[in-house]
Amino acid sequence: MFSRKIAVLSTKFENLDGLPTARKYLGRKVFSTSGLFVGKVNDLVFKHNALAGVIVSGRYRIFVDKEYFSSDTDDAIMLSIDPILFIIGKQVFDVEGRKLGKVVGLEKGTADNSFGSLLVRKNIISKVKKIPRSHISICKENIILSKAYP
Amino acid sequence: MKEAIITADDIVGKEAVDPHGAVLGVVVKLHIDTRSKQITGITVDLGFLKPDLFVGIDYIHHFGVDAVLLNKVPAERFRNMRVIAVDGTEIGHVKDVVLEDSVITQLTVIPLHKKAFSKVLYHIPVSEIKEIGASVILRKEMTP
Repeated sequence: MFSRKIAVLSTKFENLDGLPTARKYLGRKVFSTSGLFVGKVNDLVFKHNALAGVIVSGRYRIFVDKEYFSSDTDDAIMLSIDPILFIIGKQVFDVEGRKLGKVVGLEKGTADNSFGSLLVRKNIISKVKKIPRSHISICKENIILSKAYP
Repeated sequence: MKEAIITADDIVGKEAVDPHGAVLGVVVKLHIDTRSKQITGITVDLGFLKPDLFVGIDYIHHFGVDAVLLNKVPAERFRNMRVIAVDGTEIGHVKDVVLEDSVITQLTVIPLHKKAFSKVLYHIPVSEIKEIGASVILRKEMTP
């Protein structure tokens, strides 16, 4: 209400109406495409003077590229993906209802939102099993494998 | 054929898992019709301070080795779920689920910024729901 008027010194802009500032992004909630609360915007990342993405702090501290933004309002940022990091910790069941363990890691070659295999372990002393992505039938609250898994 | 026969001990104490992989709770009872001698359902303990849930045999997909797999997500799962609009605006939390013939027709939602003693509730038909995942996501932007 009592904010000082901003004087504009620019060859491109006459005023700042409708132009978001960094402060509006900070603290904004970020939700995944399925409505999972990813975290809050903690920092902004720029490349060539343009916004490249945001750093989100929540259960994990993640850099999310702007390409994954589905919508961007004053209230929240909606992503077009479910960050695969949130798969870690999920339980894995096969189609027979057998509990294979928990996801302890992901095998991925690139930084994008995809993975090749799940690393699953039943308990602290058991060996880590590698389960290819193609064997996953359902990946929501937990993971249920398809009939293809031996 | 021997593997097709299991006992009550193989069912009671196992986790009940819905089609999304969510672990609802632990099976605590097995219900049997004394006349037909058929299993009619199971009772699942949903946890501390939550009422038990009876799941009819029609909603059980498979009695698995370590878990009982269900073929339907119980309406109980949606209670207290966050409701957000398509643009990320938080609307509130699910208070109740309205069912017709076991199909969800409407959600009753407590607004996010509900004033004390206010009875305002949102009634959201299922046609306005885009997706139910970790939260309920509506199709449209909504001004609370």
